[in-house]
Amino acid sequence: MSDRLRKLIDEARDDLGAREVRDVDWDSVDRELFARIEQERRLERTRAVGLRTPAWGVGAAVLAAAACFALVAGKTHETRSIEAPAAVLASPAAGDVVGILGSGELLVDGKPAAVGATLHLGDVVETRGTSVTVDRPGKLTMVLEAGTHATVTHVQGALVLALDTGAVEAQVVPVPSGEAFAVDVAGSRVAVHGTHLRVAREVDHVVVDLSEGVVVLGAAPREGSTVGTLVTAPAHADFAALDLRGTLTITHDGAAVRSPIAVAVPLPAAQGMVLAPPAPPPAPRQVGSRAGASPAARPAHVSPATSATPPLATPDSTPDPNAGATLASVVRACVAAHPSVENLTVVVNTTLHLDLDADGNVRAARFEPPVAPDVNTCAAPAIYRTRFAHGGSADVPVDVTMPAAPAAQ
Amino acid sequence: MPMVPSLFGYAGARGVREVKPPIPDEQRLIARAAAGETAAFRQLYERSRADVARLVYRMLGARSDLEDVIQEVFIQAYKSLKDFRGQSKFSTWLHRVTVNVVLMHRRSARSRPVFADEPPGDPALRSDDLAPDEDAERRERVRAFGRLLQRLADKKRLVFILHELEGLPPSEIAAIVGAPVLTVRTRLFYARRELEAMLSEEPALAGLQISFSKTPGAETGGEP
Repeated sequence: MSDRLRKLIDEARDDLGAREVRDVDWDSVDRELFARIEQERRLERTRAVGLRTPAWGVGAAVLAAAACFALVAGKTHETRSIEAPAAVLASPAAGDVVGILGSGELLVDGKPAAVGATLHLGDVVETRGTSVTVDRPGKLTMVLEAGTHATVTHVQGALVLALDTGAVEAQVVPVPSGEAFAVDVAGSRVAVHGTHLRVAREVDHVVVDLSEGVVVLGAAPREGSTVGTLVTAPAHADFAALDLRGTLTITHDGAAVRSPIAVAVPLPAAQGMVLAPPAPPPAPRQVGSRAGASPAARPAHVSPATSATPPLATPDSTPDPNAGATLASVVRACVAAHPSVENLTVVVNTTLHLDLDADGNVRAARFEPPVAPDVNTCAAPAIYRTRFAHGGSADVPVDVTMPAAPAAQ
Repeated sequence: MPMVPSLFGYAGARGVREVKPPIPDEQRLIARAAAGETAAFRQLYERSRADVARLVYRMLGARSDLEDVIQEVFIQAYKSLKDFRGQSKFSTWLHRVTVNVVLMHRRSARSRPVFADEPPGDPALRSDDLAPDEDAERRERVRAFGRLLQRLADKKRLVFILHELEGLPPSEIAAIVGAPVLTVRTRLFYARRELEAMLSEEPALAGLQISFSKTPGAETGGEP
């Protein structure tokens, strides 16, 4: 290469385009670029809704056709009414805003919203200087704390929020199968089966305080149940959103768990503007290895000795009024967390027989029929931590159907 | 423009290959942006927009639609970020996105007329408008050189700009343009040879040969 060309290259390396880049109207580029990106996001959400709705429609049509065929064929079998509920054909609401506390404002998709607003799939919710209570009737009530930015990413069945920043505290009604609520933080998911929890995010640091029930912490799946680490209350967990497995720490020390607020729909007298005052810190739960729990007396017995976190008795534990539902959720979560063979739908119908002492503490537990040993091991710590509101015995029926997992590619 | 660290590895310091310090949170930012966080994507954009703009300008020359092309690069990057697997450097991947958008833009531009607001160069700095001071001379040389680059075929111009101006090694360019390293070197060889031949054809540069020859300590360029 000639010296002349070399020198020209040296000059061009510094200067060619430098002034033009400085002269770019970056404000204009920024504005238009991010407006287009927001448009892309909205299109993606619309496509997501569109993909689900026709699927339900097709499913309903198939079921309706099957019902017609059964009637016309005049079989002797009992013909059941097969009717797709109209509600599933449209995307349900995520919930209604029932309370706003503070002098700030609630923005939904960048526009101010008030008590009575309904949240839908794809809505971006921002709480500026205010905490907001959202109710999903019969399913959950949650409080979005001030300074929260989140997006509703799923509403069919489970409600899923993608949390960008801030904190969400929720009281979730246990569901008979699957997950009731989930909070996604980057690629990680806090999947809730029925519980009281708070999920807070600051940049990539995530803190989960679980005062009731059970959650699963794992990678957010594209569909189906979350597979990951089962966490039972009381628990304080924290992890880095982008490296959950490598950074997850969990403590079951009740003192480490943040005091839950009473998440409830505000009373009409309060005109939807007041949240219930913070409740006292939860008393640590019953986490005891009971004298009467005879480990491995039968294969179906739930052995506390197999627990990864050996239960410890705490005299001041309080009874759980929904102990049966909580334990059913725990077992379902354990089944979900231990997937079986690919392309095989797993159906588990079992009853958890519990022997309780006079205080409602679990003395012995067994599954009938027995469940897989890993499910047994997984559920044991939660079972022996639970305290019922009565003594004697309790039977907790558990029915789980795990759809076949797709074959690995 | 705010001072933000560049994601491209080369900042264009004259004659020196500047190695940028590693960006510890780059992987996190990429993962967060890929997960749909607009705020994370904005940070990536702010770090790399000047580099992308410079590369777009170098490849397209002076155009009125420079800002549209920059915007299109980042829209494509936003859409494709989910597919970025981290098998190459993010900067290499973004170079590739930029190159693809620019080439697509050039192809579509060929099929439409050139409008009056798209002059081949800045009229104020044409060779017949040379300012007396040295800076102006240097600016004109650079402009003239830019015009020569636009006369090269797309493929040769691309590897020349990526190697000589952006400072990328042939192996990285091969990954960006999707061609073997040997092909990249061959294109580079012919690009240099054609530019050497064109220097005398460009009046502004032919006349300036004298000023170069007066400069002491002239270097001899080496092959990559």
